[in-house]
Formats: sequence, structure tokens, C-alpha cells
Amino acid sequence: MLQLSKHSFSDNSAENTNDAKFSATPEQLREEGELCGRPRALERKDGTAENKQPLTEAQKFEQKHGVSVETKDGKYFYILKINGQDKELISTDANAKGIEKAEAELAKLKREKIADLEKIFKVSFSQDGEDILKQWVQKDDCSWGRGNMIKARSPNLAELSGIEAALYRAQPSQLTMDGSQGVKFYFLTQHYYKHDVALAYHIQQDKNNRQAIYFEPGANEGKPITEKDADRMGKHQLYSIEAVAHHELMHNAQQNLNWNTPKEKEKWARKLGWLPYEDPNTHETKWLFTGKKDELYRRDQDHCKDAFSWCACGKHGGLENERGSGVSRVKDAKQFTLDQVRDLAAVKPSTRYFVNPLEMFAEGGMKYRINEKRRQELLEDSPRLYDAVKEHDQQELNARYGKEPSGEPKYIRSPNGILVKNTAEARAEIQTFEEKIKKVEKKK
Amino acid sequence: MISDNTSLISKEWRPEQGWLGVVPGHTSIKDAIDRLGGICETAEMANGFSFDFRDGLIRVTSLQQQGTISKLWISGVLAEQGIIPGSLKYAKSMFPNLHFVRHDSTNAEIYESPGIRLAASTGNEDADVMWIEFFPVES
Repeated sequence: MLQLSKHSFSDNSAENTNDAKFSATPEQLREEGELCGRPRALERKDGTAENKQPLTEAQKFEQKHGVSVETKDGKYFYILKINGQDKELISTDANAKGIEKAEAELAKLKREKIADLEKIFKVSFSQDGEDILKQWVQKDDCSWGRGNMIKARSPNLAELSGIEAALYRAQPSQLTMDGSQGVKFYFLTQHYYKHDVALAYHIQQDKNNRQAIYFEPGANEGKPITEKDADRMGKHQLYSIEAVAHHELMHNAQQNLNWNTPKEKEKWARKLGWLPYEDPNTHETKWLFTGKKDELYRRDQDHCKDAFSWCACGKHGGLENERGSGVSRVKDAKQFTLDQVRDLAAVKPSTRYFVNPLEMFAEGGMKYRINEKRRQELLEDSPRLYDAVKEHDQQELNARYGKEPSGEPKYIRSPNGILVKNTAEARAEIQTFEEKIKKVEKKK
Repeated sequence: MISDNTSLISKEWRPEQGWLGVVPGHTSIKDAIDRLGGICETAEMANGFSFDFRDGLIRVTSLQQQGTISKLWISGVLAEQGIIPGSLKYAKSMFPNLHFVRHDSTNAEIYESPGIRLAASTGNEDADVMWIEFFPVES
């Protein structure tokens, strides 16, 4: 799950107060993705935008299709901003008839793209008006009930392009556990959990018992398609569609590598500095995050309507106050912002989204695969996370494609995220990439 | 060897019955290990120990300074063997008052009833049970 937006409302971290939101650095905003898009978040929560002007026909078209419409010399030019470039798809007369023509042309391009992706990656996509599942609605007493049926829509060209970019570098994580098919991507027209704002969810079993990914309403609106586009648009821009797809496909990889047992999950979690803790009252398994000095932190809440907070813990996981005395409630415990915890962590999370080891791992995997620049950032920022993600990735490749009789993997992942045959040249390329970064780090 | 709980599955379950002969809060660690097959892998938690059986498909935990089992966890994979209910619908028929309490980021929807907690896959109203856990009801 990529639930970035939620935490703008639910984390008590100091930087999540309104004032802090507007004073955050561009780097913080970028890393947090949608999180700090306060007006947009309000729009989502309340269902209306403040001071929203009626959209022009061209703007409506842009929103629907994820392409830019530029006017020049009496013509509309339909531009897909992808891979750091402007790709002109078609042009029409700058009038209603032109828009109508463009609708038909883009629908054709979309159908072709879907057919390509289904053929190459075995994935599939939701259709307009398709039933998904009934919405969950939480009541004031914290109980839940089912609401209305959520309808799906089909993806637009921008979404297909972002997912396509991710699929080429996330292979084979798009496949279901038995490898017979790929995940199904759904685009929801209502939030799956009402009032609970997320970007996307990985689904272990959809209505047809298939592994799937849900994109929440509005998750991709105005987003850069790829990480290159995010860079081009400035660091203050949002999570790209490509990045969200990578993150969710990492969750699919976790499912395929059997993270469903505590034993397997903890094996990976411990590599990232997370320890299991059993709440003595509820017997829920929670997670403790280890700091550089072996101190422990826990993200918890007292009540379902409360914000989650990062708190200090004793060596056995119990909450502690400023004086180091045990306390039973989150509100009485010594609290930290997520940035403080990130800085204090023994294994630094690669982004600000690290609510538990699964999410921290998915974010690391996203950076490892998405492109060479992000992989470099991961290795520079968090070498232990890099190593864990690399090991996990190779394990998945070996499980899917097998090993040579010599025991060597058949495929490895090159620094740009593409799978390559495990040759001496390919290994040397990776080694050179990693050593170059490690040398720079040592000099620092 | 692990016996199945067909006698329990056929009737409405009560927390004091436990599962697989293990009653969290009452069964000692030694008895639980004996009942669950004798061979297990042990790992340390922040506030206790875990004991994994069948390559992690069954786990019991024990909190510090308690000689008894604090929780029994069973993977949904074992539903095929009739050890636990395989679907949410079936589970609801066995465990009274089982209700949705939250979703978590392990792609699961969590249901609870006194002494029991289970995870079902998100995305399907009669999803497979991903795991089920039993714990002392008096807590």
C-alpha cells in the first residue's frame, strides 16, 4: 500500500502541522510525494475544491487523458510528457470537433497500448463501469460497514505509460505467484476505505482471486508519468505514476516470496533494523524500529481515531516518557517526528514513507529498480537497505528464471533496472557502478 | 505430528478451547512444542520468543517472564488440510461476532472476535483466510 497522503492528516509529526507543510523544503516535499499537497488533500477529503474554476473543454480533456493540450496557430497539439520529453501524439483543429477527433484517436492509442501490455507482461486493466467491491466506511465508534459498490474506470494514456515504464524494470514482479498471469490494475472511482486517503493498494486476492493493484481516485491526476519527468518538473513535484506502480509491484514481489509468514517477513525486516513486538494487552504483533545506538522506536496510536505517532520504547518494546519511565499510552510517551526517526535509524529509510518494514522495503525496491539515478541515491543513502533489496530481487529472479547448472543466476538486474543475462560484462558493470559510489562515500 | 481440529470446526468455538490442543494463556511452552510436533525454530522478539513449526506455517509466542504460550498463529496455507477455516465466510460461521476492525498495510483486512484475530485478503468479500491467531481472552 502506498498511503502517503493519509499521513498528512494522521501523523503527529511536527512537520505535518499546517505551518510546517508550507515551510518544508522542496526535497522534503518531493520525498513525501503527495503528502504535502495540502489543497489537493483537502479536495480529496471534502470532495470539493476551494475556488475551483469550471474547466474548459481542453482542460477536461487533459484531466481525462493525462495529456497536455497546447494551442498554436489555430491547432490543438496533444502532448504526452514522458521520459523527460514532450511527445506529440496528434494535432487537430482547435475546436470542439477537433477534441472529438482527438478522443477517438487517443482511444485507439489506448486500446493498442493495453493490448501491448497485456501481451508482453500478462497484466490486465479495469474497464469503465466495472464493479470492484463495496466500499468500507468507518463509523464514529471505530466500527466498519460496507457502503456502495465501487466502480472502476479504464486507465488513461498517461497511466498506461507510467505503468509500462515500471513494468519494464519491475519484471518479474508483475506476475502472480504461479507465473501464469500478471496482476490486474484497477482504477477506482471512489476510495476503497472512505475518508482514508491513499494513492494505491496492492491486493492479494481481487474479486476474481487474482493478485491486483488498486489506484485510488485522483492518485495520478497531474502526476509526472516517470521519474525522469518528476526530475524535469522539479523536485517539489509529486510521486510519478511509474514510482507508485513500482512500489506496489514490490508488494507483489513480497507476496510471491512468501512474506505472509511471520518467519519470512521477519527475516527481511530484521535486515532493515525492525524487530517484532507482541503487545501484551492485545497480542497484536507490532514493529519496533532500531536506532543507531540500539534504541527503539514504535509507531502507534491510542485510539482508532487518533493520529499515529513515533514514540520512544524501552529495550522490551514498552513505551517510555521523556525520563525513560514506562508509560502505557502513546500520548504520554516521548515522541519523535518521522524525520527525526529517519535520521536516527540504524538503517536509513530511502524515503519518508516507512510506517513498517514492508513499506520501507517497497520504497527501497522502487528506488533500486526505477533507474540508475535512483539506485545510486539508494546506495548512497542507505547501503544496508540497498543490499537487502538487491538480495531479495535476486532471490525473486532466481525463483522465476532459475539458475545455471553451475549454480549462478541466469539473470541479474543492471544499474538501470533492466534484466540482463548474467555475463562477466554485466557483472562488471554492476560492480563498477557500486564501487564508484562506495568510494565516493568513503571519501566523505 | 499435528492433529487437526475437526471436532472444533464442527461446533461453535469458545476461546477456552484453544486450537490444536494449545490454549494461549494456559498451555506451557513445553506442552505446546510437544503438541505441535516437537521440532521448531526459535527466534527472539523484543519482549519474548517465537517458536516456528512447519517452516513457519505455525508459530507460537511466549512473552517474557511467562511460562505459557501467549499466542498461537496459523497460516492460511494450512486451511487445505482442514486445520483452520479457509474462507472468511466459513470463519464467520465458526467464530461468533467476528467483525472487521481495520486494514493493515500487509494487504490484509483484520477481523476480530474475543480470543481470535484473522486476516483476510483485501479485495474480495469472501476472501481466503491469510492467517488466524488465538490469544488469551482475559487480556
